[in-house]
Amino acid sequence: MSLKSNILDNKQQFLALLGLVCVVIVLSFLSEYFFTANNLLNIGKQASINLIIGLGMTIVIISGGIDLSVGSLLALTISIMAVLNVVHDVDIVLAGFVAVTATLAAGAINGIIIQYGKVPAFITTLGMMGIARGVVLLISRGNPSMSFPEEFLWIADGSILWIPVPIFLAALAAILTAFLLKYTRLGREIYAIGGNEEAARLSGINIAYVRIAAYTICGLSCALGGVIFAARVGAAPPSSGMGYELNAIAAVIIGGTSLSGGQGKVSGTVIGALLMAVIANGLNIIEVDPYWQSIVIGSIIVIAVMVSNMRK
Amino acid sequence: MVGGAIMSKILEIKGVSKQFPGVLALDNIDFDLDEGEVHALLGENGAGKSTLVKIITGAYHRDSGIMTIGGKAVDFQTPAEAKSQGIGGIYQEFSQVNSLSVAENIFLGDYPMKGLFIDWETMNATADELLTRFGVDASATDKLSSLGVATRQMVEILKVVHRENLRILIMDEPTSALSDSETHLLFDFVRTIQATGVAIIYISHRLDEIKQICDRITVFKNGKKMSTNQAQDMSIDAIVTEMVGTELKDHFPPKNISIGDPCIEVCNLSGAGFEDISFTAHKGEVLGITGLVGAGKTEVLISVFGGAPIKSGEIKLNGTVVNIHSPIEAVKNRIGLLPESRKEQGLNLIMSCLENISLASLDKISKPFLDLKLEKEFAEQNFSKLEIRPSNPKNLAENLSGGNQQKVVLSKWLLRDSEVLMFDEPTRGIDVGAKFQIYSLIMELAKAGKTIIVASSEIDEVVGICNRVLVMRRGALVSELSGESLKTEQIVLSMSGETLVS
Repeated sequence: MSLKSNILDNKQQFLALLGLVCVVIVLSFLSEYFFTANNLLNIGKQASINLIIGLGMTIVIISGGIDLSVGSLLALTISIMAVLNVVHDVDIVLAGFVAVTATLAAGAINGIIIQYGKVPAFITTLGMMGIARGVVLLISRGNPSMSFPEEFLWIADGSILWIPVPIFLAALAAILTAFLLKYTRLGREIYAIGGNEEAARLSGINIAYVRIAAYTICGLSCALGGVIFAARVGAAPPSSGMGYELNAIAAVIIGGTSLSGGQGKVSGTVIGALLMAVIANGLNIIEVDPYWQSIVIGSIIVIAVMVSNMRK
Repeated sequence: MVGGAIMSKILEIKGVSKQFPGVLALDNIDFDLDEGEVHALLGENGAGKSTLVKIITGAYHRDSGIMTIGGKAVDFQTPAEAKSQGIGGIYQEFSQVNSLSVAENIFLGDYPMKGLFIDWETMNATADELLTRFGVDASATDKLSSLGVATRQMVEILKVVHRENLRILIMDEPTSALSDSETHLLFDFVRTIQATGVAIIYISHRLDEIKQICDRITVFKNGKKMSTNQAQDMSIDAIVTEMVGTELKDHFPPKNISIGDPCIEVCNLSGAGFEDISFTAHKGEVLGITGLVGAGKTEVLISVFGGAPIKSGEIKLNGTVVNIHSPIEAVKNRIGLLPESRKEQGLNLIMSCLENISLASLDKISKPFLDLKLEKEFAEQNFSKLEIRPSNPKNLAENLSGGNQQKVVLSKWLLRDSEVLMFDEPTRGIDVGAKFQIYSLIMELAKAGKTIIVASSEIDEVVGICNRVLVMRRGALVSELSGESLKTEQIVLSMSGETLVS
């Protein structure tokens, strides 16, 4: 990254990080239970799905787009898995594979329509949000399919090297995404088309490929989020993932990635997702009415962007 | 001092200085404006002219010195105060709304009202009256988007001029987007404004126009005022000498004379905005394409580069027909384009120079992961070869001056090892010293056997650097000039459509 944007990003991220640290300190004083290993792991688990989807969203937003369909795509993975596994008795691994592939394809379709149909990302993914949710309802018939196999639930409850699996997967995804953005050609091209698409095109960059890849990766992140969600809930409620697009966008924005594209970092999204999970968990522990959660998160988004604009 | 005779000074500035961290931007400047004069401010980028203008318009506050307007001392704290004293400006980037009408644009922000509603009748009538008075060929209800660039520019000026109390008008590079004939239209318009007694501060890099339109010339260099002279007393050479500081024997480096085999052949190419274009460019040659704005030069270059669809025709590279449907194929075929607008098409401003340079050559640094060290090395090589300043390639592209930005775009294609380099308006908005550097680079590339195509509406430029010049008019090639016939007058004639006896 270039010098100035590095400082800028870091400053914005630094503010979010500072906020995170402050909230953690305050909550540690307010509740003895908050700063225990158990609760912190709990927060990590809570943050993991939002973070994984947020990573896909980070890529799409850096590329100059937006994806409103992530919540529905998450539900799509879950219900395809449930229908195949629970209703049709397909092996869970195969069912998972089909579900992930289908979700990935839905992401790719987003990219294809935006690129070749010249429909703005906001509209395309808004449409996909409705379509994917409809497909979910159609194939599940509104039925939550309550019985995934016992072994599958390990994805939510098990651990790898004492780290809960969801946290492990989220961390791995974050590292891979950061690596993709910084050290691969595709990553650089994602920044390039988000920063100035015309200049990227006139430099011989294959815009169509980069854009479709960005939305496909976002679809992949929804699929991974969906698998973890299904294991955690142990069922496939057709309403799963509702409102997740806003949480993912919030994590990205709080982390200092600009909605106008071309700039942004994975570390910011990690901080953003953690901050949101800590606040949700903290409000819970100190027994604040849960309805306050979204008021607080909403305010944080606006304040984060306000503070970052003030310095300009 | 007493007496009415010398009270025609609208603006007087004495001993004004302005310090920025590390730079003395203005050093003890004296400056004045007569009623109804057009006064040119000249100097390379960073010489101090824009700082002075910003002090006059209240955007900056001076550190010392005095400023009087109409004999009264003023001390502007905000641009609004300057505006209320009758100071207005039009700047390089217009602030216009293309989807609104001419009248709506002129009165943008202070529409005449009838109670709660806009008084359309008064607004349109006043606008029409203004348009007629200043000889602008447009009607109040025309959509701005339906007008040519020059007319839009005049509308932009009327927005300032319609204010009753306008006394000082600042024009910053008003002709940078205009062709020569449009420039003449604008000049007639400027003279009408001048006749109303408004004093005009005129900033431009085009020295020939300064001679045409300005009464006096003040030259700045490194924050100091070099001189103020009557325009008629100063030759262009004298102006350049004063601006650059050293005597430039020529404004152009010597041309390359050893021209090689044909490299790129364009045969009967047609597309949006041009029809049946054929030409051949040779290795080591600098081929110029000129014509008025809108003649189709840019469209031809973009189409050859695959950036716009071709209706018919073909392109041959070194004798073989190549299929170029997109810039991807052009880049693969080692064609590079330095587009007309650097900021919108040439550069990713929020990326570092380093990343901009490698944008077309990412394959060279993917092994298979990006080798950031190698990338930096490549950028540093180009930075030192092309003398790009500031010399740290990690700076964001947006923080560089126009000339250095152009060098960054050029570096992108040098790293790609392009064989054919197409420059569209290579020196637009670039100061004199940097222009010469760009020309020298073009010549070096030609001598190294590259094929260079330069599209430019600056006639002096194509005459000065090209071996051969094609003239376009309304999307067609109308003449080809080289050798003895490569003269400014010839080009002007065929550009504007005067019949040449040939």
